[in-house]
Amino acid sequence: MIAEADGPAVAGRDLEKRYGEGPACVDALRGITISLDPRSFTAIMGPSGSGKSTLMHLLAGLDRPTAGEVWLGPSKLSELDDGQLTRLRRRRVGFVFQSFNLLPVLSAEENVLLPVRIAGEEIDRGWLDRLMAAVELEDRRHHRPAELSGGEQQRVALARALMTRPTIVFADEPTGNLDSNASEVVLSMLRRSVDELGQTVALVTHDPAAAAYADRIVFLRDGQVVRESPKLTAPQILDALKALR
Amino acid sequence: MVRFVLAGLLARRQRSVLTALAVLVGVAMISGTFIFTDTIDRAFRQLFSEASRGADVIVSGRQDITSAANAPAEIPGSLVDKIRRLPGVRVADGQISDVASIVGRDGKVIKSQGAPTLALSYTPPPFSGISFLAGGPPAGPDQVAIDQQTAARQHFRIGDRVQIVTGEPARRFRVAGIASLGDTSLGGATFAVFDLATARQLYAKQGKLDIVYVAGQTGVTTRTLVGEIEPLLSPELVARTTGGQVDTNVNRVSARLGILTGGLLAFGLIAVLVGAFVIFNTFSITVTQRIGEFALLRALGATRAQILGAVLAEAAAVGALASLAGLAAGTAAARALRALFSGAGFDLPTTRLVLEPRTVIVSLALGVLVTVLAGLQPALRATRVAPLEALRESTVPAVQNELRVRLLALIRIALALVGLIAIFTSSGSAGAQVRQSAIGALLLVLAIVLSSPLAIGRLAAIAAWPIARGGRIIGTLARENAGRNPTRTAVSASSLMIGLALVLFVTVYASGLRSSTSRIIHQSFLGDFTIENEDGVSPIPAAAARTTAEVPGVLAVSSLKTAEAQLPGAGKLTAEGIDPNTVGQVYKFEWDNGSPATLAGLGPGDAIVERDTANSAHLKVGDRVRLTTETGAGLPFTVRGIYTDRALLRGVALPLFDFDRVFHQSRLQAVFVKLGPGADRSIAAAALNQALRAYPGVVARSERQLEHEVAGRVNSILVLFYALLAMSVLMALLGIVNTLNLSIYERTRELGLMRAVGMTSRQARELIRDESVVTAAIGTLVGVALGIFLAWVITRALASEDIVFSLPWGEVAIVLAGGLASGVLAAIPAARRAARVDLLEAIAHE
Repeated sequence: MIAEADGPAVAGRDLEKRYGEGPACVDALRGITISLDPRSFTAIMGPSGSGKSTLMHLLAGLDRPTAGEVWLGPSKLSELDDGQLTRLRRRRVGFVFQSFNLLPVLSAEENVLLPVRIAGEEIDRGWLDRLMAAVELEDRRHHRPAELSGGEQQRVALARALMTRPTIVFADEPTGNLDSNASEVVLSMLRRSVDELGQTVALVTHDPAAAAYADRIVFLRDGQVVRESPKLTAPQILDALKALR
Repeated sequence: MVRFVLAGLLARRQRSVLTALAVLVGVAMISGTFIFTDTIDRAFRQLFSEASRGADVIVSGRQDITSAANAPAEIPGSLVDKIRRLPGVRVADGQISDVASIVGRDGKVIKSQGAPTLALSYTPPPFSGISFLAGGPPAGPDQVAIDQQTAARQHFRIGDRVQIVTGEPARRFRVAGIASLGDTSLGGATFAVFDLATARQLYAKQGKLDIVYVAGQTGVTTRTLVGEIEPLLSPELVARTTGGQVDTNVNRVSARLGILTGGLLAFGLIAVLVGAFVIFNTFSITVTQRIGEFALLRALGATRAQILGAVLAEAAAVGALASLAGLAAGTAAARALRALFSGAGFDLPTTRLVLEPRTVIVSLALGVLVTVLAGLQPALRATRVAPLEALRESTVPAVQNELRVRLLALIRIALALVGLIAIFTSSGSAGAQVRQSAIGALLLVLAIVLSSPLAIGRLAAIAAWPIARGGRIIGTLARENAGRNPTRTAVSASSLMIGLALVLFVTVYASGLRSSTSRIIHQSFLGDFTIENEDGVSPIPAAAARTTAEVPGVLAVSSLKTAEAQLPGAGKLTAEGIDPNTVGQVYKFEWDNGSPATLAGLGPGDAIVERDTANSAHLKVGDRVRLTTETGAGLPFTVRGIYTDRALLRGVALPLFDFDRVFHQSRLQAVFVKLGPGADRSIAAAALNQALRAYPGVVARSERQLEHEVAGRVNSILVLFYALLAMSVLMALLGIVNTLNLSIYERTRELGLMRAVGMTSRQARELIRDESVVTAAIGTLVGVALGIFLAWVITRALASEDIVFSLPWGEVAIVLAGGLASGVLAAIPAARRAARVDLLEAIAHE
């Protein structure tokens, strides 16, 4: 199962992010403090430009905050250099992006194994088999991405994100390019990764239907947390979003 | 549309610059060749014109006076008096023209290959081709005037004593004048001027002349003058107007320069071809990247023809600009070529760089044509972009016409088959075999280049095996990426392949040449030493043979003279004058029909013929044929024997007494020395060299030294070839750099993704480097294999010349290592860029 530490899986404190300088600068984040517990499924929501993607990038160690601290498990990210950050990312963070998740030259299975192989680590065949079964792609292991449907590709990406048993999986609009059926399959798999595998998941989305799968919803606007809520239904989320505007 | 093209060019400045560079190098090599050889041509013309200044008509032997190996027919001195009495003649004077080597301050003869070292007699005004910069004309048996270049290089001043080798042992002369022939640089050539009486005595030409200069009365046309003189001349002599004489001399030089021009142009064309590959790849990638742009244009109403026109116009614009730059770089290339030849020991005369209109036209036309042709296929692809593509996420459109694919496959197979058949069925003379094999090889290379995209996947698997084995991820990815766009990788690899194949081809061929030469020397040379010119080519004074014979321990000396001649059926060939009494002691004849007794029985009107010549002239023993000299003199002879020789005695060998009757060659090609039994070789060698000190520039070489000398000559030409091929290899590398760079742009998101899931920037760099190495390795492996194969094919065709196929393993290993290392180098810019990919930008969704 997923390794677990005491305290939050990921935490950000007083996070600020400013792009550019002078009068043309943009404050993407204006002091956000957030903490994601192990085995939790959190949705981060907000209108475009609210800073949800920026927040994800900072929490995942893809970018550095202008001010504030990020903790990934016991590691304080500001103390790590680029190489250490990269190594931390490949072991402790899993990603599912909206599109272009897979390398076209590798088969589905090879894509799932990519982070492990890049790290030069031993492959846990049992875990691989279990994940391929979980994303229902056992019979498509050796297909290349071009031979898979959009939904299947996202399921491969999900398996890859889970392969290293990361501290947290970030899913950034993972269903943005999918039809509703495929979206439901991917989201329920994300849900099951939390329930059955004990994975921590952060889902960045503007889709209320997707956010309804989460245990907790964080609403952002103009770079600040404006509301936090436990599990809501899709219509409730839609109302909450309307209230933000 | 024009504005769109220009905007496109400016927007993709870097790509345009790289494309332009690919055109530029080839065009620079082509225009540089023209400029280089035109300049030499002009320099020779100036030299010849200067030398005959003041004359209206020139009388000379019909023979080629520009070749040191051929001495022209001598003119009886009395002819000048007869000419002087002609009504149209104002002045006439004769000149001796021969060979003299000036000895430098270091005691060594001043000499470079391909440049004449002249001895001239002074002709008084109005024939003032030679002008004196210091001092004056030489007078008396101890005086000489030397050329200003030699004087300056060796710091000889008026009054200095300088040693000169003439037809006699070296002697010291006092410098009476420093002279020049116009303002042309002589290159490696030198000249020494004596007064007429001295020159005649030095060259044993008492009462004779080599050239007669004639100036007509005012109002007498040169044609009339020639008409008056002609009846006085023997058939061996000819009177030409000065212009005609200069043209004749220049044409003779040009004919020889033609080979040089042809060779250099071939290297230039190879560079152009490799450049075309680079351009093709750049345009292909550019078109792929601009699919959205083309689709938008189509959606806005642009026709296919307009798209085609725009892309081709861009190609033409780049081609034209690059050709202009290439033309400018051509002058630098011409200087570089000169330096290169100088370095290889060929110092050619020169003057201000000559830019003929032909050079400009050919360079520009070639540059534009090649760029447009290379851009044609990508441009056609651009026209196939559907307007709807603008709305979709852009991908590489896979337009593959089934019929076209089959047709192409058929063409490739046919090319390869025809090529192989041509290679393996080649027969006939060595020349015909080489020609047929070369055509076959060309077809084969074409087939390989065309089919390489199909094999790239497999080749990549082989090349990447060491880095991808055991499923190593970076190596596996590199392999997959290299095989991902087969055409692109194939074109990159092919360009490297061509350059490296040629490098290996000349290397293997040269190695074969070296070992076959040493084998020939070993097999056929029975003597102990060969006395020859330091350069191994130029003739030596005849007196050297007499000197050699007097050295203690020497049992026999045998002299060899050579001259050019013609034989019906065999065309131009070398005629050798041999001494039938002694040649058998120093040279082992491989008789096809004959025996040592044949040699002993050679009398006047007899000759023996080398097998190749006998075959082409359909001669057998007992046949009677007529040998024609360049002067038109004929020598009928009876074939007494037929022998086989690959190197030393080609053509026809006749006794010296007959040779000397028709050829005016006073100098010897070589003297072969056989020591008596029990003579100590090292003592004899020392004694020989001591005796030969009277002839600076003449050396005694043992068999081993001979081999060494030949190897050295082969190597210096090899270096020249390497330098010329380096341009093609360099450009191929540029192509790999360019292709990698562009593919990094294409794969920004992919690289971002890999970085996001944990690839370090170092690993990203490693990945690009490995990709580059895989591409380079494919090109190198195929190139090396092809080069060896081609060398084998050509040596096979030349088997009758005894060129053997011998693989220089050390060099092969160096080429292999160099090819792989070049892959690492080519990847540096792209790898750096890959490592710096902005992660967030790469994964940001549109």
